[in-house]
Amino acid sequence: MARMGCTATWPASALPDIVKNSRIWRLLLSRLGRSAVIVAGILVVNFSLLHLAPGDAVSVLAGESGGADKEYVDRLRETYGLGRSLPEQLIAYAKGLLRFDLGWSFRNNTSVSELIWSRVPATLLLVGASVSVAVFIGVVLGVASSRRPNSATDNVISVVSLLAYATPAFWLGLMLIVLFSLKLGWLPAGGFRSADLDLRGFAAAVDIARHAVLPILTLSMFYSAIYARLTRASMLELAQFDYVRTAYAKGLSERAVRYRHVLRNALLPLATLLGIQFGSLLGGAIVIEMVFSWPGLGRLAFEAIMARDMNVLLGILFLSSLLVVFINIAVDMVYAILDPRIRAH
Amino acid sequence: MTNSFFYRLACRPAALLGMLVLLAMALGAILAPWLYPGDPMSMVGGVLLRPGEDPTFPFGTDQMGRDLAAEVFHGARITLLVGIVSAFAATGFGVLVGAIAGFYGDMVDGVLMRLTELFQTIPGFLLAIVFIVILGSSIGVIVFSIAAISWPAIARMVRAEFLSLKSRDFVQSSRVIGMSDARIILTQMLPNCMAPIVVTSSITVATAILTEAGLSFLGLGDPNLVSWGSVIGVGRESLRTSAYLTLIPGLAILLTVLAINLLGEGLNDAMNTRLRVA
Amino acid sequence: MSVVLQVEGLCTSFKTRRGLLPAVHNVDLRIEAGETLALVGESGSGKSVTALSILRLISPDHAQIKARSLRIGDEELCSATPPMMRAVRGKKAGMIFQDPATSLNPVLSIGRQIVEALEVHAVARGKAAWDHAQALLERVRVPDAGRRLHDFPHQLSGGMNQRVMIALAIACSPRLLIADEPTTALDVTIQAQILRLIRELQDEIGMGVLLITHDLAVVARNADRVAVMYAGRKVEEGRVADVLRTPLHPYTAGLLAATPDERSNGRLAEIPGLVPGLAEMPPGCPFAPRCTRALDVCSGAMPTISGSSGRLAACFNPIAPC
Repeated sequence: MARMGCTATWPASALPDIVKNSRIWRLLLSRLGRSAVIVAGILVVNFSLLHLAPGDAVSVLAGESGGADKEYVDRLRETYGLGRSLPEQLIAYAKGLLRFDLGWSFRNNTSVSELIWSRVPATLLLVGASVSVAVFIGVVLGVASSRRPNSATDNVISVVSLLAYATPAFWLGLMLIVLFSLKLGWLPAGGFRSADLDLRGFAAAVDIARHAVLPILTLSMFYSAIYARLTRASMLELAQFDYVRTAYAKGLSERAVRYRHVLRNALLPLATLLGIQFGSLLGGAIVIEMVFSWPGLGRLAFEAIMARDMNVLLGILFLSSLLVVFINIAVDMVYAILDPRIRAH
Repeated sequence: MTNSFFYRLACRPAALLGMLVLLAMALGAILAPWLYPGDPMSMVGGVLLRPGEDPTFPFGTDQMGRDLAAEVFHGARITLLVGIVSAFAATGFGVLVGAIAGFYGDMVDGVLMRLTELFQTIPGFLLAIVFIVILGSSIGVIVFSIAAISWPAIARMVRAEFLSLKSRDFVQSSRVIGMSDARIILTQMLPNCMAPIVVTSSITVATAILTEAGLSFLGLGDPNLVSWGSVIGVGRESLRTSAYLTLIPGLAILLTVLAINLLGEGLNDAMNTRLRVA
Repeated sequence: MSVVLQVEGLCTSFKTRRGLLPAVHNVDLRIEAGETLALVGESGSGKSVTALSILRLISPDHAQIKARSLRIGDEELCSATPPMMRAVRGKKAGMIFQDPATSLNPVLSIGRQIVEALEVHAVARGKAAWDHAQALLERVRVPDAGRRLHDFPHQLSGGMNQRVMIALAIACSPRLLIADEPTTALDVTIQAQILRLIRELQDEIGMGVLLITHDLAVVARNADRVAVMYAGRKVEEGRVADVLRTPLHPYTAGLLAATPDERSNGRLAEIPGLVPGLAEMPPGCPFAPRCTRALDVCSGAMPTISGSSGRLAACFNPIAPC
């Protein structure tokens, strides 16, 4: 029976296969199972940190810095309190965390979870855009430098990568502010948007974009260098493989071989690296948001540091760890889609 | 002879350059108390002097009249110290975990790998921040925190090496003749992964330095000590008028990390005896 | 009888730090339609390099390929531009390689890879191409071809993958098929099947086949003519029956003596010594140091290949006059 195959780019012909492939779902399930162990570990770590913090756990959760409502504190003490054994406290705490009850912040007069949720979009925008930019620049530069190894292009890109990799991100951000904001006046020095202007729709989007350029550039620079070097190394190594020779023997052009065969395989280690580095990206976002007054989780973390607001900090730690777990699962799924050999396990 | 490790290292000018820069930094750090005696945080001159305005202050002064050159030289001590010590600790612990996991396998490996995965999942920089906020910002805590977030990468790498070495003949024969596990690990297997351990350690030092700089920049450094990151943090207040306060210590970090990376790359190439196929 | 491949004076030298090292020196080949020429030699004899050089599959960064004449069909490719070579590869000449497991892209489906071969030469597009691909798989006797199209190389056995490689190579009905050790990496039972398949396709399409191998038994059963290579040079050529029964060159005789068969008992005769490396070629005949029939002249001068009516040998002291 002849199958309706199309010769459009590979995703189109591969997709029906993937969705029907039960192995993909089984892989997802097993990854979720493994992640549950990690999440349990995260809960234990958070719990331990909570108890290590100065003051007792309950006063931390009640947001002692503000001065709490006695009834609220008593209720907390009952739920999480010291009257119970440690394992019971852990379970109660875990249940609370999984309900996203992360405590109260008196400084901001709102629950910690609400506070965090309000800041998540800005950070997701920053991190998401930075990853995309870093991957794009990294792949483009990596492929360009692998075309003619040790050529002028390759050497220039290597030097630039080396510099980008060695530059402290927060310092780079400051220097970019000095150049583009203070000296040239092209871009704003910080913030999310121009609060004084009442912009709507497209103009508002452009305004946010202008504010986002420097933070995104700064955060992505370090990772672009890493991805560029990885892509270059992968492209050069994979070009030696036998199937590349077969592709040429079929009459394909250098370009077709490079993109359809070599790059396709070179993306695999890149995907893996992305997953591994996501946690580091989130950490980097903290300093970047502080430098650029970007109203995201990082900025919130910084404010919490200043105020020694433990439960906000722990809440951010918990949420960002969960985010990393989620991203890792997503990356594994993407990898399974890209590499048919994985689905066989 | 021409293939010896040192010859190969010496043939790479980039690596040599890196080594020279590092030696210069180390020298500056060691000589700091003599070149700039006293507390680098003491106010010694006019406020916000630009570099070169006053010959006694080649790098200028900050908002409180502190000598930027003194801060940079003294800051080198902290930066390098924290970088090296925390990388050393992370390497030690990482090698221990990786070796045990790789050697024993099965349940031990499973448990240790979940632990490693846990520490790689929790965003490292954030965890370090939490440690410091909880335990205080003394230099010991900073070193501990950075080490605590850097060891997983090393553990993973050592484990992978051990897994591949485990099935090699010389290891099998050591077991057959009855060598104790500890002896096999220490005398047979570890020496064979020295190359990747050394290279990974150099990367760890570089990352540790960048992490320490970030932490001090955020104000989490030891308040009694000067570090390049803290100097940048202070200098940021006057970014508009006196960008040099941020520029100069940042360049110091950049140069140091760059030098370490160049040296690390040189080490990697020199240790790599794989022939390049034409 | 039309000539499918005509190579005259092929010289391939590798660019190394020590200069240009010749790997193939002055090789002539001629294959007619429907004919199978076997190219035989040990590892390092230059037979694979010869095959790759014909289709220029070695990067000009790594090697220099020169020839007095190189014709596939009636097209002169001596100084062909890259676009000209691309038009020839896969269309006028197909090639299959030794290890099918690594010669197919692991992340693309079988069908995708065959369709690619069809589309690049505009033989078919879209659904027609997939149908054509299925027909090709059926032709190379891959069972359940319709499903196999969507499978990946790791899901198929070595023998199956080699059939896929053959399908790729003959997709555009080429005039010349170059098979570089097509069965070396396969089980003995599969070897015979693959070689038989190639023979059948050859008869169907009317291709000329250049069969590269080190196995004289394969030569005996599958080739019409054979050329023996040593250290980058052709040292003997002729009809298979003639060469295997009465070899002219001492090296050929040595190879035959070293091949186990039902009649051999006790130790196999080995040719003492090793093939010289590219940079260590002796002056004169490269086989002289190992040759039992070597004369003084052999280490001083290079014997040229000579003979008549297709029976050639390059030797000052051949076993029988050529």
